[in-house]
Amino acid sequence: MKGLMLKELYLSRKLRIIGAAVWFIVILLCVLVRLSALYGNIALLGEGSAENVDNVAWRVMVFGGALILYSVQFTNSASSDEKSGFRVFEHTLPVSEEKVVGAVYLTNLCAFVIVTAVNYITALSACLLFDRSFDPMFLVCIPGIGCAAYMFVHFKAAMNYYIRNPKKSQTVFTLFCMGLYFGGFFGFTRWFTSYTERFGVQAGMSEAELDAVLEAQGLTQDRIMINFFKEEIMGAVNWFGHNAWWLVPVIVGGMTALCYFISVKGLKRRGGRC
Amino acid sequence: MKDYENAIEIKGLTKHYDGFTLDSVSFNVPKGSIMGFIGQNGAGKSTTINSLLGIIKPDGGEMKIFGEDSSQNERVWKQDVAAVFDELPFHEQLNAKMLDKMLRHIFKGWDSETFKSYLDRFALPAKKKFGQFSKGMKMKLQIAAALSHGAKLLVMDEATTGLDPVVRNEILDIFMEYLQDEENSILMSSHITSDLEKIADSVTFIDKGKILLTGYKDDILASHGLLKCGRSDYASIDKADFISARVSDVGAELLVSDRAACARKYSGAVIDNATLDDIMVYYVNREKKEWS
Repeated sequence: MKGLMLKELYLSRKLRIIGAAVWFIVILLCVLVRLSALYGNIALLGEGSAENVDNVAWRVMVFGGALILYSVQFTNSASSDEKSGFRVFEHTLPVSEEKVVGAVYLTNLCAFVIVTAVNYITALSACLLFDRSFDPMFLVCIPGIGCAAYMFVHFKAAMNYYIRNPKKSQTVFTLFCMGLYFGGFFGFTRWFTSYTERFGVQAGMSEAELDAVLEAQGLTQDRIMINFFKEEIMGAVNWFGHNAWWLVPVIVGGMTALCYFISVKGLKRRGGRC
Repeated sequence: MKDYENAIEIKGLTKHYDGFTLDSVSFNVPKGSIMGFIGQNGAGKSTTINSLLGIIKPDGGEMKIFGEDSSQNERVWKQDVAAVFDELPFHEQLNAKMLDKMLRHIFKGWDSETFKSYLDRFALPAKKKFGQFSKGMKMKLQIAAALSHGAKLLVMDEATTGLDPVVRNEILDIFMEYLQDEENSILMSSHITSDLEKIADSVTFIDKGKILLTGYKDDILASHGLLKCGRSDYASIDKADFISARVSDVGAELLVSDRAACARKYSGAVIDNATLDDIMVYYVNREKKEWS
């Protein structure tokens, strides 16, 4: 398995270097924004604006790094194995299908652990630099981002192993992502609609009627969106982080195991070159 | 590994695809020999080899490698088997140094020094990406990797196709060196029969999924011959006595499978030596019987 893990690392080396370079540039920009907010041009914008820019830079440094690094660190060589002919060669090696697939998953797990540690250090550094407190929620949110990327990559790998045709597996994966996107979009829209109904907003209202209803309660359309984010979304995240955080490893572990078994089954179907 | 007579034993191998069937293929590769596996494109050579190596699952038949059932203990016998394909089966981003590190952890018998010595011998750069290699370099790389883990059996699927004569000769010399160890065996599929005539000890000929001939190369070449005659003499030859005939306006060339018997029956007939190429071409046209 070690040899196959080395293969995964070699194949993803270029992508990891690019990802690390982008992450470094983003961190550097955040540091420059902070310095500018303290001593430079951003400080001249005025207290409110400078604080907003400072806030954004802090959040980018905490979460943006995680988004960048998690998205490039995970390997998925299953389709490139098929294209290069390595899948055929793999069948001639004294290695079981479980180990072939296990090498991919284990490499990704190691990358996940390392990148999570790096992101924690970045988040801590961001809090020190921007003079903010380290919210314990970061301990859940940061790997939460990683878990989403982790599951996506393994689902894609399972499709590539099971549906050996690279174009077909890509189509299935794209349809899955579109389903998630549109499902998320409609879910989000429904949630926001039910929130606004508490303030008397009804479907089919004109702009003028909507503004009048909100103004009567001292609200604007922008303010209601901000309140929705603060109360509903952040409320849900906080609740989840305090009460149901254990679901994340259970779901991720379960999905990973399922994808692993689908991958092994796909590889065992012996569809080499003929 | 217990003692064995044949490196490979294939009995009744069957595989069905749409439009093609590998039909009860049987042959053996004796230990310490080179078996040339010849046939046209699409005859079933790759299907047979892929079934043997476990790349595809056959529909029926038995296969033994080193005297053991190949469907059992794959991870054990695959330590001693090396496969070489017509296309390089490695990612273009990899280089020889990376390949060495990878295969070192996969094959117990992997010897990095041997691999490096082959790279030097073949003048292959260790840090150049495989995507920048020529076809000849890619083939030499595969062979270097195949010979670096103490494999007792080399299985080659069209490995010399597309190579220039100089490179092919170089590779054939390496195979002869490999076979100096009597424990080593080679199964080599090709439609370049001239290569096999140079080095093969035995030959198996496959056509449309069926084995037509299998045996020692010298015996096959000795028993087959090309009978040349005029049109009038051709008419008097019994059709059961030849495989097929290339007929022209001036005469006919017939491939006979029992040269001695034909020489006795058709005294005065000119029977020349047949090459493996001739044998392949005439057998392929056996159903037509007459062709031009």
